[in-house]
Amino acid sequence: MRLLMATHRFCAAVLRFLAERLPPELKLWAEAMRSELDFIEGTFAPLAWTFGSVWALFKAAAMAWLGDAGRERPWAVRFVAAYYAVFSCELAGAIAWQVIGGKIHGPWQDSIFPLLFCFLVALVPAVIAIGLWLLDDAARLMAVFFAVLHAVVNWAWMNQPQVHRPIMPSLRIALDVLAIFLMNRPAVRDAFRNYRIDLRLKG
Amino acid sequence: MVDSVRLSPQILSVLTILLEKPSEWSYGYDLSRETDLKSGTLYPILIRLAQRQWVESRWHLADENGKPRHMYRLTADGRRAAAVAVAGKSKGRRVLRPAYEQR
Repeated sequence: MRLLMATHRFCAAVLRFLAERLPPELKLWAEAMRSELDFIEGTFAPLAWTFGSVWALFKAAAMAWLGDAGRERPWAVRFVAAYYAVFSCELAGAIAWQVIGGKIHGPWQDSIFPLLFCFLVALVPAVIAIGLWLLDDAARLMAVFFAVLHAVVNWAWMNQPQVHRPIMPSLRIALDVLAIFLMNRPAVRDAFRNYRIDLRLKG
Repeated sequence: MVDSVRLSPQILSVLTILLEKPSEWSYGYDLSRETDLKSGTLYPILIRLAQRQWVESRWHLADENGKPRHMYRLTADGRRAAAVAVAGKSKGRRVLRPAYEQR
């Protein structure tokens, strides 16, 4: 009997916790799912009900967020955010390959901090991608700055005498120029300007 | 743009159960038992049907213990759409347009 009551209280607490943190349109559904617990008998049935309800609310919240994301973000923002996300994965992957592939020959004590630094630098494009996704204007400016820097570096690299195949640097420069152009389009600048993050104080 | 509902077997089973008692209200747990769908499957279906205004819902004080419960039934549009969906199930139709487009 105690286990039964404890299970019901735990399940109700979980759904009540979620209900308090969901947007208004989903709060109602969380309350609806929680209210059914009072009529579910047994110990495992309420747990299964709660588990399913949490999953349903998570899916609904994710769909609502993604749906909003698709409507609010111009395709140019999604494209450049994806470009930076892939860029970050590529950089992090190259560093990981250095470690996994046994390319580091010096002692680990000398290599660990430079590796960590390189890994943190590799995460910068990912942070820009997240900022673009959240329509943060600082991220848009960082994206432009990073693209300019990357293009200049590739241009300098391409003009080195030892570089015989300039296709990849040229492609990277073209993508950077495209990113700079897209991030400065009036529609994109308006999307960042018009997006507000409402801060609410509790209590 | 057409707002259509992709009819999975699970959605069809919910519509079938609701169509058996079109004017009566059903509780969530009862629907779960009658359709044999877990809450994680049932409620996304109810949410989608409510968003398309095929299902309406309201709170009700249950007789057993006076605690509030949420209950559901088909709207007029939902009854029309469910009737077409259930009838068309055997013909292999997988996408149903809202009832207001069928007038």
